[in-house]
Amino acid sequence: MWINYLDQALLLAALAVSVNLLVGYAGQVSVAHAAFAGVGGYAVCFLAGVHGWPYLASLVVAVLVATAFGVLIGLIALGLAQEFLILMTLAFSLGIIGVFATFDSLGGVMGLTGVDGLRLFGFELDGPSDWLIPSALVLVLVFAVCHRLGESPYGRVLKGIREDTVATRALGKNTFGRKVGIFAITSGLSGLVGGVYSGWLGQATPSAFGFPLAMAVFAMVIVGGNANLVGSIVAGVVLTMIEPVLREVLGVQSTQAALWQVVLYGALLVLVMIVRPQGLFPERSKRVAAPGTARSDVSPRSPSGGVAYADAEVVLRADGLSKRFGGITAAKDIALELRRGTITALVGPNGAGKTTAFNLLTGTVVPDTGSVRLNGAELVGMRPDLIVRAGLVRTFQDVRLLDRLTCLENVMLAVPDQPGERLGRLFVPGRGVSRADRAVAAQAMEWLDFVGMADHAGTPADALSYGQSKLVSLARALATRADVLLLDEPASGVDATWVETMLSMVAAVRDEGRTVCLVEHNLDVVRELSDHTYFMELGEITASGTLAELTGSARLAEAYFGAQ
Amino acid sequence: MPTRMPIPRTSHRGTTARRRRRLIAPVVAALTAATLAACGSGDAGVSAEDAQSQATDLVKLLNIKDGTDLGGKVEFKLGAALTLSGPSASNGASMKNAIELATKQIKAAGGPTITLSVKDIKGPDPVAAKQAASELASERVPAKITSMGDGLGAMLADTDKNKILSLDGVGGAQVFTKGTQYFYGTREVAPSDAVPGALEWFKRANPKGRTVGLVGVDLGPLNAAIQADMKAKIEAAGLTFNGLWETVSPSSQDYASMISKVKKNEPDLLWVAFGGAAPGAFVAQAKSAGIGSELLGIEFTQEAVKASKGVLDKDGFKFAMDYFDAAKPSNPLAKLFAEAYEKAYGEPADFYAANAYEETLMVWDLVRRVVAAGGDPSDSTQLKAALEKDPKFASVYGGDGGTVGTLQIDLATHGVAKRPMGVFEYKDGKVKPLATYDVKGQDFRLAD
Amino acid sequence: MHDLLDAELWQLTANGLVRGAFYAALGAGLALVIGVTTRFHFAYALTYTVAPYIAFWVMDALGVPFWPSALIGLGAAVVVSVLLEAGVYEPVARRAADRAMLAVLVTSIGVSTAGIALLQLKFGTSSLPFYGPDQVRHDIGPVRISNFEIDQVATCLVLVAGLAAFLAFTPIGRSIKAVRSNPGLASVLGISVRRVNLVCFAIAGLISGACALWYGLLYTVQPTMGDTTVIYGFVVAFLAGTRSSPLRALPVGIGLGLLEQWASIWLSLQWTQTAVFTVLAGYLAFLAVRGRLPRIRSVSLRRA
Repeated sequence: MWINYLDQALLLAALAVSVNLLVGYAGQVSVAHAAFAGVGGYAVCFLAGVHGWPYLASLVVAVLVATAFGVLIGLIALGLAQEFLILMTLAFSLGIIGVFATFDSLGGVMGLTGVDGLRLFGFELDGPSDWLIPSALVLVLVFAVCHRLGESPYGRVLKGIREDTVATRALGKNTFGRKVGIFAITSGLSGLVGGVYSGWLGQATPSAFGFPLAMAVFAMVIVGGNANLVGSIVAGVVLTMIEPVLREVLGVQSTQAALWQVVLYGALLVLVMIVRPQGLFPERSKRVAAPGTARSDVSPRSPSGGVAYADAEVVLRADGLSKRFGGITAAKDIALELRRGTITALVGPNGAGKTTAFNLLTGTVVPDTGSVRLNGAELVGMRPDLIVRAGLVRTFQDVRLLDRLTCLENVMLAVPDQPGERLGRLFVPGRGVSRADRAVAAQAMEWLDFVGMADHAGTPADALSYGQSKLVSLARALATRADVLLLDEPASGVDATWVETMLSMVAAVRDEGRTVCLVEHNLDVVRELSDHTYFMELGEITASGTLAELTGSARLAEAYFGAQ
Repeated sequence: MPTRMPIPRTSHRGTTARRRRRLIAPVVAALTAATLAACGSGDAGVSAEDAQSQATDLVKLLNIKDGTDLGGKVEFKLGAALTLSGPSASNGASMKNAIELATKQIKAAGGPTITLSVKDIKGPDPVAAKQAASELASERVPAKITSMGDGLGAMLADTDKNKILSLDGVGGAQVFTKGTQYFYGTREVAPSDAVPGALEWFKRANPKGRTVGLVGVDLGPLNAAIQADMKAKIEAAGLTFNGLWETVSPSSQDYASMISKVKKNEPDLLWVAFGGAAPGAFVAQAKSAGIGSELLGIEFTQEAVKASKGVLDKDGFKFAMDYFDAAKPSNPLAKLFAEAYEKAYGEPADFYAANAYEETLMVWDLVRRVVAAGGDPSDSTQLKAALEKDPKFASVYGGDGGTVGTLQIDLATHGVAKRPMGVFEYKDGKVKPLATYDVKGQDFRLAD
Repeated sequence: MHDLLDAELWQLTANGLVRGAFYAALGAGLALVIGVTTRFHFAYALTYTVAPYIAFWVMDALGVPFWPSALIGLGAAVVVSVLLEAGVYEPVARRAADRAMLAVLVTSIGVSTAGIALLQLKFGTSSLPFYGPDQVRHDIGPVRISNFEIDQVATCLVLVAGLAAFLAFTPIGRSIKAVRSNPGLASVLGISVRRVNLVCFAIAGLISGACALWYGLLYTVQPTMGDTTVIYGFVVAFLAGTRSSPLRALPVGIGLGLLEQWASIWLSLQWTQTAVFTVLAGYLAFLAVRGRLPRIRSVSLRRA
């Protein structure tokens, strides 16, 4: 009997591990993975049980079908706000189980039962002890895949999505694609677990994959700890064993044991959420050994040596950008140029549309009309992450570091073209990925060193002071190797000692030959840094020139500078 | 009950006092609930003295010859797969009571020491049923009292694989149990066996009635076979199946849509093929919606009375089945059982209890036969052989004031060869027979 | 045959309206909670189930007459709802900070199923004999309807309209709306967000309890009665919008009720519930596609 429960515990733990990859790492809450397991289970029972396919082949189909469902649901639901994702997965899981229960060929409400005599690699899977090895193998396989994905550069992107999808996308990562991808992968893994679970049960029934299973798996993930796969396994085994232990060891009546198990699940969830929300086994921060500060080939380029603004090459040119939200004109006919090796400032009163202008340039908001050309290539209509890859990166007024990641991880995330972010490369044998990741860490360290934050590499971002976090966000933007940097108020809210540091940083970036555009309220900063200044009011650029020219204009001085 | 309990200190900064107060609420709630639940489960049962006196009568009634080895030295492990939770929980509970009563009486009578291993198949929930099957297999029980067509089919494969002699007094030998060697149904196949007699009654009670329809629980792919069987029997009776065959999943007791369908195609006789509480809920809603058909249930329980909110008491409820009437036991064994059960558990025995009771006696009978032949009663193949050799057993059904009834298994169908049943009506707390008959409508007699 | 079909259609329509009002009220209550407090209140199923269970217990064990018992049951639903917010959601959300939504969702599911399991431990797993006053049936043309159904519709409409009026005309109602549109700003303006949340949970408890008591009178009281009901509540809440007037729940709820009933004309009974989820999934898919439409359009404009 205990072996039978152990089979179940291993399989549920495997399900919890795959759900944890989605919920814990990528922060996407899905109630549907029990139903994906059901898809797998039904596929196996239908093919192997009813139509006599080999078990292995039906398992492969189970994984494929579950993955396909995952892609479909992911495409629909992952573009929506989080509450809609929960609702959509809820609707899907109830709907799909309802549909299964409607077809007579799938056994209707009774499901497909009496699936027997399955064979795997020539071994007949008969009693509980025969299933122990397949169950353990599935757990090992699912754990290996999830661990590989979670604790790799790919997992770092997932964590970025979890912490702040917009910020992660602004570092050039295809967040929507990643979300759909991870949703599909975990669906496929759930399908695999479901296929084995159904084989072990000898049946696929609507009740076996209904809401109670989803609830149990959630309890395992939360109690075990988000983004800690070992925690999920421990919690999976422990929680599954509650009922039999109550019944067999503590002598609780079988009718009551099942109910008490549910009560304990609930009580545990509440207790854990209040006392230890990170779960029994909290997420471990990756300790990247801080590489030495030895300069490598990616060292900042040598100063370009004072190019006159008028002579500098135009890197980015925007024309006629307009955007209306409902009846409000947020941006009207914005045209501007950014020139290589220079610093351009965007100034204007609050609400003038400066941040909107950044949003339009970076594709975060799609303009109604107008064009943005970077080195001659049109950016309007491109996905925001591709715009970053094309060489236009931004920082945020509210910084948006990824709180639970260390400074080093924040910067590493920004490094483009990491082989470890590609699924294909992750499962190729060899040390290529980890070698590449060490190189990425080294690069990131250089950028941290560049902004003077190398000592804080291992510090979680939420432990930094505001000024420090602005520096790290600059390092992060630099690490994307984008040519053009849009800095949203790099010096605001930073105390005076940091302003100096910040100024020298930005100047150093310019001297590196990159192009900088900044939005800034602090006119001292603008005066010190900017080669050219645009003045915005009410969504329009109404004047441009050097800051001295602008402050010389009586009208503008009254409109904005007068207030200073 | 403790009012204070130590709260684990958290490693986090900040005030713990406030959090502590927060925590107390759920913890106290859980403890309160625990106490409540613990109080709720008092253990009733037959007392040792009662069992002893009943045992003496039992040995007499079973007509066991003096000097027969009663199996007193045998340690027998009996399994039970019952619906102890879910919508059919009360069936399982009364079956468990009856089995426990029987095992105590058997022990007191000098029979084997029967240790009972009860598994909850919840509902039946196929997963729980499967779990129960594999647990019983690992405990190596040679026989089990089972239910619901062995968990609506989910356990059947294991029943044969592990050779567990299984006696089902709830579902009987349903179509889908056919071919399971170790499975026997010890009651009529509901509703199939009861249909011919019931239709005969209907024709006599409603000479103008012509059409028959059915509502019931969804049994998935089994529906088709059951429908074909019903249709054939309706036609054989010279009536017409009007095409109304509506099934819903057993989880819901809101029948508004179903009743609309019935209204659209109202038959003269409507079979209400639900179990447990559902017939009560359905009949109440059907009456409220003005359904004029004659409604005929396939089983009757107090659960249904409760769920009908008084409609069954007020308007009455007719049903066709092998009903066990604890108030009017039909033979001395039935009387012994009904009285012993009521005394031990403070409530009248229902037919689930009666069936489980006679099944337990049947297991004892088989053990005696194997022991008498010098065999090993823990070997289920020997138990099965003994059954096949003479498939007749004592029954709490049928018989008369002086004679114990007979339960005869049909070795071809694994169901019952004969079973006294009838059409009954419940009203105002009392059940009275309207007609009595046997399998295939034989021995049909209108009640006076 | 023709008029028979018509009669059926009328009956189904009446059923749909009755059911729709019920869904609308449930949805309006849940929408209030989700919109104002941002709690994914799954335990709505628990407060729903608690009302008839407590009412039954008061009647059965204490011998109190029906209507006072129903009021006590209703009160119990409100108390449970408020306690959930004060004792579970609020501390959980505070601890979880930025991940409050997931934390609350998970605890809510946990508390709900655990609470319902406790009810089962106390009252058993099968249905309760929940009796009320006598049911009286009225025939209106081809439609047969009971007094309970009429009362239920009236209760639901009063609840929804009352909620709308409460939000529009009372000071606390206006505070609720302020929190709904901007909780940060509202608390700066001196509105106690905590108190507003508690009021919302009290209202949601009241609505769920009232709906459940009528449902219990009409049908059966059983531990699983809240399961699908809460799903319908979510569906209505999201389709009607969690930040709009409760009155919008009415057309949505009634639409769903009619859809579910009319579907049984063409579909087999097993399909009718699935039909509702299909509509929901379709709507969400539409939202998702529409969310990306502007970008698709502007790309094509550029290319043109």
